[in-house]
Formats: sequence, C-alpha cells, structure tokens
Amino acid sequence: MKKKVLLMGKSGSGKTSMRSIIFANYIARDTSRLGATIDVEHSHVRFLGNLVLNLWDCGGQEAFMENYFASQRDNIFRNVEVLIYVFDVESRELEKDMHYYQSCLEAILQNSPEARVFCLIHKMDLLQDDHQRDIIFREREEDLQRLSKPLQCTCFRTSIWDETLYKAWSSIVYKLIPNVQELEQNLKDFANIIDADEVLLFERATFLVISHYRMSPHRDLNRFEKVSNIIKQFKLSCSKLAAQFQSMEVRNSKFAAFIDIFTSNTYCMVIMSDASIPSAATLINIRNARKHFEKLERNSQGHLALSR
Amino acid sequence: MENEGNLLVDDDEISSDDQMTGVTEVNRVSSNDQTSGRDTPPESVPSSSVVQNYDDGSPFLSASAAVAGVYSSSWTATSGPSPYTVDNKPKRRPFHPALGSRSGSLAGEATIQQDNHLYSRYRYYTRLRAPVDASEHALVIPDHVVPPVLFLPYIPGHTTDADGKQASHITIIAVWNTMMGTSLMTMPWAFGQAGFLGGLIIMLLMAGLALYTAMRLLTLQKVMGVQGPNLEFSRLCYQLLGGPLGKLTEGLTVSFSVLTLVGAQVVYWVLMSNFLFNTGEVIYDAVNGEIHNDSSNALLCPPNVTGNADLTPVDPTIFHRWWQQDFTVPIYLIVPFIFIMNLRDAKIFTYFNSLGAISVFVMYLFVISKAVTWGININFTNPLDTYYVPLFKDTFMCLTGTLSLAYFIHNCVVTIMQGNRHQENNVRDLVIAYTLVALTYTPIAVLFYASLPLPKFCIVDNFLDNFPPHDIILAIVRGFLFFQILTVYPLLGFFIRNQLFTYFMGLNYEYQLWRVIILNVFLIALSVMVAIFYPNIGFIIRWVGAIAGLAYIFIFPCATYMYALYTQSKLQWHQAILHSIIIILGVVNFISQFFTE
Repeated sequence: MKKKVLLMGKSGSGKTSMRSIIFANYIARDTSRLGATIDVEHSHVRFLGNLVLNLWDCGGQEAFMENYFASQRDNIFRNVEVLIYVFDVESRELEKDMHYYQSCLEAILQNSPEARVFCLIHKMDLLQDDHQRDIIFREREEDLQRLSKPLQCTCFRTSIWDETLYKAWSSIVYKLIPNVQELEQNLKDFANIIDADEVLLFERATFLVISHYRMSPHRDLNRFEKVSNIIKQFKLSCSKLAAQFQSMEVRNSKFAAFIDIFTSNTYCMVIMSDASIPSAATLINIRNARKHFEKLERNSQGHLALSR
Repeated sequence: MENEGNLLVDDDEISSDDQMTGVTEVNRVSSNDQTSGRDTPPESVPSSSVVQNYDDGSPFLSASAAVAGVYSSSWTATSGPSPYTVDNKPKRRPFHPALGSRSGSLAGEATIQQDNHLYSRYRYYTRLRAPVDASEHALVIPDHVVPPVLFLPYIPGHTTDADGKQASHITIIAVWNTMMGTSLMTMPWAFGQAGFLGGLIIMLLMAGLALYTAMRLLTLQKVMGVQGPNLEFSRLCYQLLGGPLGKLTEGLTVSFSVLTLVGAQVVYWVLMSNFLFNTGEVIYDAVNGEIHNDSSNALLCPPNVTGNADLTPVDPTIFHRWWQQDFTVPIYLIVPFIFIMNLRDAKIFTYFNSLGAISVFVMYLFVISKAVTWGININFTNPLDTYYVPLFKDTFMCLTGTLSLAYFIHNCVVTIMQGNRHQENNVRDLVIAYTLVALTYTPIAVLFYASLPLPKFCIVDNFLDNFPPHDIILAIVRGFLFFQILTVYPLLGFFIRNQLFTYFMGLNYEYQLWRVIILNVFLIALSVMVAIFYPNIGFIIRWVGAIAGLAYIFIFPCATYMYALYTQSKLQWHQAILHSIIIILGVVNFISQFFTE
C-alpha cells in the first residue's frame, strides 16, 4: 500500500491553492460544499516515488468533525509518511487550531508514529512587515514545538506570493530523501565528469529541487522556483494536447541547459557553460548516468522500506 | 549488456506508464462514500487543470478550448470588455520585467530580482487558474503584493473613457481653440476699418452668419439622409456626386480648404518673425543694459514711422544689420522647421495647442487692464478731434474679410464635433462655442479701439506692434505666442499635406518622404517670401478670408442645403430666398475686397 502525505489544516487555510501550485494542478474550490462535508481529495500523484498526496480539511462544524474524526481516523492516519499541517497566520481561533492540530498528532502517534511532521505557517504576506513576521513566526514555532512533544515538528513560514512556499516544500522533500548526502556527492562527481556548471535534480511531479550541485556560487538563490514555474507552465501546455513533457534543451551563445527525465522520480537539469560541447555528447552522458542514479534511488527506497 | 538491457526495459516501463492516460485522477469523495477503493491506473505526471474530462480514446481536446486561449476566460471576466477597438488599439509591447541591469546598488538589484520572480509566479498562477471562473479568488494577486512601481496615481475626473469621446465642454473648448487664431491681433485694426457702429453691427452679423452656415454643414449629412459615419464636407460631396463630378467638387473644396491653411501659414510666418524679432530686441537690450526711460505707457505709431522710412537712418550696429524683421529673421526661422515639418505624425503638436489659449487669456486681461488705465478716448462727433471715429466707414470690407477668416471652422467642424460624446448636443455646443469666440474677439477689438490714446489711424493690423518691444508683459505674451505658433505651424503643414495627399492618392496614402519634403520646401519658401516682401497680414487675412469664406461660409453650405431640400422636394420659397441672399452676400464680400483704397 502506498504511503501517504497528509496535507491537513483548517478549511480556508490555503491548502488547495498550495497543492495546486506545487503540483501544477488547479482544482477550483467548491465553496458551496464548505462546512457540510469533509472535503477529501486524493490526487494520485506520484510524489517521491511511492508517496500519495491526500488533502484533508480539518475544521468546519465541530460536532460533525469530532464524529468524523472518531470514526475515520484510523483509516486516515494509517500509513502516513508525512504530515503537513497548514496554519493560517491570520486565524482568530488559535485555540481551536491548536486543538485540531493536537487531535491530528494524537492520531498520528497511534497510527503512524514514525511519520514526519511539518507545520506551515501560511499566508505570511498578510502580515505587514518583516519584523512582525519574524516575531509572530517565532512565537508560533515555539508553541507548536512545545505542543508537538514527543513528536518533532519542523516549522516553516510560507506564502504563495514569495519564495518561501517553494523553499518550504523543497526542504520537506529534502528531508524525506534518506541518502541525500550521497546523492549530492554523486551529483558533484557527475558534474565534474561532464564539465557541467550546475546539475539539479528535480522531483518529478512537483519540480521541487531535491539536490543540486554548482561549481561557482550564483547570486540568485531563488532561481529554482522560477525554473520550476516555467517548466510547470510548459507542462500545462503540453498536457492540453495530451502530450507528456519529456525533455527540453535551451541554448544560447553563453550556455546550454538540458532538462530531461532522469530516474523514475526525478528530472535532471544540466547547465553547460561551454557551448561548444555538442548536445549529443551531454545527452549521452545524462543517459549513461541514469543507470547509476536509478540504482542509488532503488537503494534508498529499499532503505526506507527496511526502516519500517 | 545486462545493465543496459535492464535500462532499456526500465525506459519502456517509464514511457508506457506516462503514455497511459492524460486523465487526472481527482476523486472528490464525500464523507458518505468511503469506498475509495477505486482501481486507479498507475499515476502519470499530473496533467493540466482542464476541468473537462476527456476520455482515453481521443487524445485531442476540442478546438474551442485551445482556440479560446489560456487567458480568455479569466481576463475578460475580471477586467471587463476591452475598451480598444481595431482602430484605437495602442501599439504596446508585452510587459517584460527589467533583467537586473538597471541599478548598480545591491539593494536595487535584489528588489529587481524579487520583482522578476514575483512576475514569474504571477504568470504561473494566472496560467493555473485560466480555465476557471474569473470570480474565483484563489491565486489572484492581492494588492499588497503588487510591486509599488506598477501603481499609477488616480486623478479623479481625468479618466479617459473607453469610448474615446469627449464631454461637451471639452468639445466646446476645442472648437474655441481652433477658431481662435491670429485674427485676434488684427481685430482692432479691422474693427476700425468699418467705423464704430458699423464695426459692431458687422461683427455680430458675421458671427451669426458663420454660426448658421457652420450649423448647416454640421447637419448636412443628416438632412441629406446619408447614413454611415460623419464625413467631412469634401468627402461627402465626393460620395454623393460620385465619379468625375464628385472628384471635381471634392477638388474644389480641398483647394479652398488648403488655401485657408496656406494663408494661415503665411500669416503665421510673418507673425513669428515679428515675435522673434521683438523678443530678440528685448534680449539684446537687456544684455546691453539699455534702459528705456519711457514709461510702460509708451506707445508706438507705426504708420508714422513707416511713413518716414526714408528719413530714419539704418541702425549701424551689427546686431541690427543681422536682425531685421523684414529680412533676416524670417530666414532664420527656417532652421527649426527643416526637421519638424517632415515628421510623420502630428500628434505631438496638438498638445501644444493649448498654449495659445493661455496667450489669448493673457492678452484679454492685458487689454482690459490697459483700457482701464487709459480710459475711453473716443469721439464720434467732431471730425477734427484726434480721437475722432466715424460711425460708419466705407472700408468695412476689410472687417468682413477678416471676420470670414476669424470665424472660419467650416472645413473641420464635422471632424471636431465627431468627438462629442452626446451627438445630439452638437448644435447646442457649436452655438456656445461661437458665442464664446465672439465674446473674445469683440471686447478686445472694441475696448482697445475705444481706449487707445492715439489717433486711431495708428492702430496696425497687429495691435501688439503698437507697443514697444520692451514692455514686459507683452514681451512675455509675444514669447508665448511665438512658441505656440511655432507648434501650430507644423500642424497646419500636416493638415495641408494630409488633405492634398488624400485627395490625390486616396485615404490610405503612403508616407513618402520626398513628396513631403517637396511640399514643405514650397510652403516654407512661400512663407519666407511673403514675410520678406509683403508682410501685411491684414491684407492677407482679409483676402484669404474673403475667398475661402466665399466658398465655405457662404456658397457651399447654402447651395448644398438648398439642393438637399430640393431633391427631397421640401424646398420652400422663403428658404430659397434666404439662402440665396446669403450667397449673394458672400459674393459681394469677395468682390468688395478689390475696392479698398
């Protein structure tokens, strides 16, 4: 059975938008159904190989919620790999939010005690200035970490209108990869062998950066999100024609960039600054590297399986 | 090789997975339905946010979705229908954020980068929500996130409306501004030519007459029952009569129109030379520290001066040799126009047109203030008094000729009125505009004439010349006027060019530089010649006014009106007589120009 990523939070906290953006998959929120039923969305998105994303609303009419929780919770909380809980920073009902959060944590403790817990303090753009944001975030983080004991939760502050959302999800993904150090080392070797300036590994479904290596530092630290957005837009175009995005080559006199399917869970992006190297050479290199990285991936997944 | 074999197999697996379906498996499961044990096919890369489901068999979306485009639903729904039609669409290039090359500072670069990323986010999110209803609030960029540089200040009352039309008061001002021309400076002189009472009567009469015929032209198309967009008179003739006769009449109307414009251009050149000369004098005197002891009430009497032309010595200074109003200054003026006249688009000049309004206003106030200080200096009874003015004079045709040009708007009244938002108010607005113009011309003429403390023959056809160059206020007024005429001159050139080329080469004529240059050379040469050899603007104005007025103010409106009524068998005898009288008046006006002394 596939392992789950639970995306939970109060309704209206921004989960659906978040999910739409990360997975390039917009589903209009059916607001007429709010409060009457619990909205469950499974999108069978292959996420990091073996994970499936489930989106749940926590909140709404209390009594109904309690009932639902009681009867269904085992079902919901079994086999969970990751719990991502979304808090709306502007929420006026902090107590209630914490209450639901704790209920979720209890359920997790009972059913999937090994799950990782991440908390996203969302909609941070609604706060006025940086200073305020820092203070409030730190407050919430302290509270949440206290409440989560004995589980450990990692908190992020996010907003869909700046780079924090992408970074938070990238960090989450990064933490979910067991052999990430090994991966990075291999990427470095790969880059050195093929004379690439930079090599990136993107997660397949979301184009979140799993790992990257760059020879010299780059001044724009948030460029991955931009690349990810561009590719996701392109994927949207492709799928309008029922075509699947497979690979892309971008070239000018200063550089050549290759984006290609890599392993079963990843895409890779290779940047060559020596434009004289013919594309074919780089593509062959990438193809040959695939086997190696596939093996790495299989090992890591086996690793995961063993640890259960 | 084993590994490679495996790899190949893996490749196939991957690709076959991906080609499986393009369907997004999104199950909205309500709490009732817990049988979520759907046997879902292996997941593919998530497909787009297309709301419709297309079955596995047909991989292609219906054409409409693709054709409608990504943004069609959300954009038009949120921002309303586009105010742009094919005609008035602005030629804008797509927005492209700066790529960090602008400012050197690190902070600046950081914000540029941030904006850049925000823009890419904005595009991506807009793309995501493209297929949904525009009222969906999710993923719409909130105001506090939009970079502040993109905000424009909101000035209430200044929103340009999408229909491209203007309010009544704007139209009235446009008509006023167009009519208000150089005749203003000729008014006092022209007024004097008809005697005091005669002048008053003629001014009012001509205003009313010109207004009536302009109104006739404005409503001609409706009277004739011609459908379609409002055409200017020349095009209307062409369309109605058709064929060679139509072309001939159009040619006639075009020539009269062009004549007016060329006449105006020539007069403008003379005036510009005058103003430039005077401004140069002021600056020269100021630089050389020449103090003029004459009080600001000093007045000149140019006819006295020019009468003794042979007695005045030529000013020996070098400056005055190279700076003569009748000789060198008109030639110097050529310099700025060489380039401007050949410009393709005249829009830029229309913006400066409003400078003239300011100048007129200043002159108005100036005349009133002078009149107040001078008091009334006029005598109707004693012919030996210095300030004697007869009630009627036999040189009244100068006034009628001048007024024909002063109240002339008949060649473009349709075009200007077309911009009026409420077309049914056209006639009313035209009446208001004409009243305002009359109220501008008449008081200046009458007041100045009545109060000038000099013998009345001293008044020249540019009343500013009655004041010495160094009068401060007038120096400023001359400066303003110089600049305004400087910008109107190319505008006139553009109109001449437009009308001539449209007549000869059709509506969408090609802009060919050499043709334009030849025309401009001719126009400028003509202007310079006149400015040097015969700079009597009074003469030019009354002749141009009489000829063009004959055609446009008297003959065309009345003849076509009678013809229109005649073809519809609605012509009544009193209308025929009235309009025939008007035509006769026009002819008389024209012929009498020959008979001034």
